[in-house]
Amino acid sequence: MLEVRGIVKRFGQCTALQGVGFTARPGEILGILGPNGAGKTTLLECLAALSPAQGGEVLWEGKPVATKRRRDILFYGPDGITPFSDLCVGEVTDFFRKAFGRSLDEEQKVVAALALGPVLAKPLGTLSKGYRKRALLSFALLSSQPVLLLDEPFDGFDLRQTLGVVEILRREAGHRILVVSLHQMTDAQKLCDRFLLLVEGRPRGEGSLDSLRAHAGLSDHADLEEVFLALT
Amino acid sequence: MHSLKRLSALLMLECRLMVRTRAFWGTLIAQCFLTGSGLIQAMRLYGGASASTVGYPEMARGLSPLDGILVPLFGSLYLATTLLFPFLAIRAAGEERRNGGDKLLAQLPLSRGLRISAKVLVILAAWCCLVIPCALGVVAWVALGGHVQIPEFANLTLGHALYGFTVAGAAFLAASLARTGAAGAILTLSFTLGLWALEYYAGSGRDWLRALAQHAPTADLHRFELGLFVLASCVRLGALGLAGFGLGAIWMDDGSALRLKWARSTVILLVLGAVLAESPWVRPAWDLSEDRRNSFSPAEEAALRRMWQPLEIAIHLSPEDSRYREFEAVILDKLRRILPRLSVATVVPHRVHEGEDDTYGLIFYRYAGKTAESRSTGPEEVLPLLFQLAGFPIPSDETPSYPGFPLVADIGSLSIFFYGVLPLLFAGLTWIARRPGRSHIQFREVQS
Repeated sequence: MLEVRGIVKRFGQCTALQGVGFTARPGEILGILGPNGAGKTTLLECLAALSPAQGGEVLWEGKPVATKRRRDILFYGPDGITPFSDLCVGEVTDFFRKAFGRSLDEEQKVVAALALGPVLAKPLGTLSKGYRKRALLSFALLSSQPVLLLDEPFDGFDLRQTLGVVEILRREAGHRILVVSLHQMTDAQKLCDRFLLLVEGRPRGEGSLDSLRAHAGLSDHADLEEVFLALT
Repeated sequence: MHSLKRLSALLMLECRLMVRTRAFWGTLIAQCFLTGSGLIQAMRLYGGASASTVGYPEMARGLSPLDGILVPLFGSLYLATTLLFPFLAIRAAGEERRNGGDKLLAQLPLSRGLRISAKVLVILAAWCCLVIPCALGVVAWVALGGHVQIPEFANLTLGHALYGFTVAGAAFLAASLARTGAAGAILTLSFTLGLWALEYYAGSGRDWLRALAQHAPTADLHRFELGLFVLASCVRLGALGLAGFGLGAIWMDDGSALRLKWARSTVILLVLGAVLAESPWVRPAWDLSEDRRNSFSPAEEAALRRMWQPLEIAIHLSPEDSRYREFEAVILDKLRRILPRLSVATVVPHRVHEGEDDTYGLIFYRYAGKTAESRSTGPEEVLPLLFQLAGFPIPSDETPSYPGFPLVADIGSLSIFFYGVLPLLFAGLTWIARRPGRSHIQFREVQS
């Protein structure tokens, strides 16, 4: 189980995250929801130790994980990056397979699941936004850490692609903990088992849709969007 | 074993990132033209000078391939290292930082040190590729009948390698501090071109500026160009390069708190400051030039080494005076490497013009309670004076004199090679390197 307690992050005088915490259990997908600027990406970067936090701790199986050792349990798939633009997709998936000690069979499965076959020989810098996003997702899926943090995994996908990726992530959640940040409530409701609502760097609620409905005092028919609006 | 496989995969990735860039191949092609130009011009001048020595062996003695060919040839490497290489180094060090790739690489199951080392190795390998045209230039010179003395050549290559290491360190640091590649390039060029400016202004500047310039990377490189292997120069260039890489590694780590970065940087800067401050006291130096231009004769040096008491020299000359510079080059630099207890004082009178000060132009010597003075700045007069002070007989010099290596060669084919064949070869390699890699094609075959 992954436990995050009291994460605090400041940029100068501005507090981006104030006491954010959550729990994520094996086999579930936790969605971090919030409007743009809520601190979702900052939270994920702090958890992955790519950005220093001023407070808080991360526990894995009940034991605190030092910042230096975070990469042993967490892999963060960032959004909006354009890495290795001169390298072909296949070369980079090949690299991640070797770096994480995965088999060729596993690499083939990931590539096939994300339908990356037609662009394997193309440089990453020449891909469309949808293909680039899928390529980035393939790198994350080839990682071997037990917890996967994904920032806006559906950004740039059409409806059919989104449904396909939901299925892939659901399968992945069978053996890993998934924490995804999203700002589209409809996507979140399709994918996630539990939610952390984040507004202006502060947690406004955590739990399943049912428990959040109860917390907000809404009926069983209220969707995630209504719950979010009620609680934030 | 797994770590080794991961490291080799990372090295392969970093190499691919380097060779896929047009900048890398463009720099290599530019280096072909620079090298060709340097070599052809040098061989033309050397050939002209050699032609005039036919029948005059005394004149041929002045023809050293180190000065005439190797230094101008490696001058192209110096230009490439100073002006072009920083762009390659900055791209390799900072590109993935700017496009977000480092966020992925930071999460690999490899230590930070290994990840940084892979990057540094690829940057240094890129510099080694810049040496290829120069190495081919040396091969061409030898193939045309030219003479190369291996220790001289190896020493010159080492000097340029250490200078390249320093520039690479500066570029690595600049890449870590700058938000954009252009800003990184400006920072690095400020460093490399700043060294030129320092050298230029030091000639007529204040004492501290002159002292600083004497220990700057360009001055250290110049010692290697003279055929000198000076350990202090190696220490300085190595320390500057290492500090650049160390500081760069600290500031590239976005996961560390700012306070920690400053603390670590302060430690590195303090250590660097201590090493640079102490480096002038690192005495060992060897003259590897074939014509022993930086040394007295072996017999004279053996006699001088027996002068174990302190020798004091007071020079009543302005440092701008050409006699001062000559005395510094032909006497003091040589004495400093032999006499550990040598102290030199420069006495500049208020009125430095000759005729207004009787002592102007005089050089005073004090050894073992005895004193002497002379206006000479050449070894023919100064060395006998020193032996007289020490009470030694003047040693006889039986060393065979340097013969010189004149050569008039046909350099027509060099233009074709350096301006045509070699750039075309690199252009072809650019095409090959930028083709899709083999791994994924294999993968597609497996899939089908």
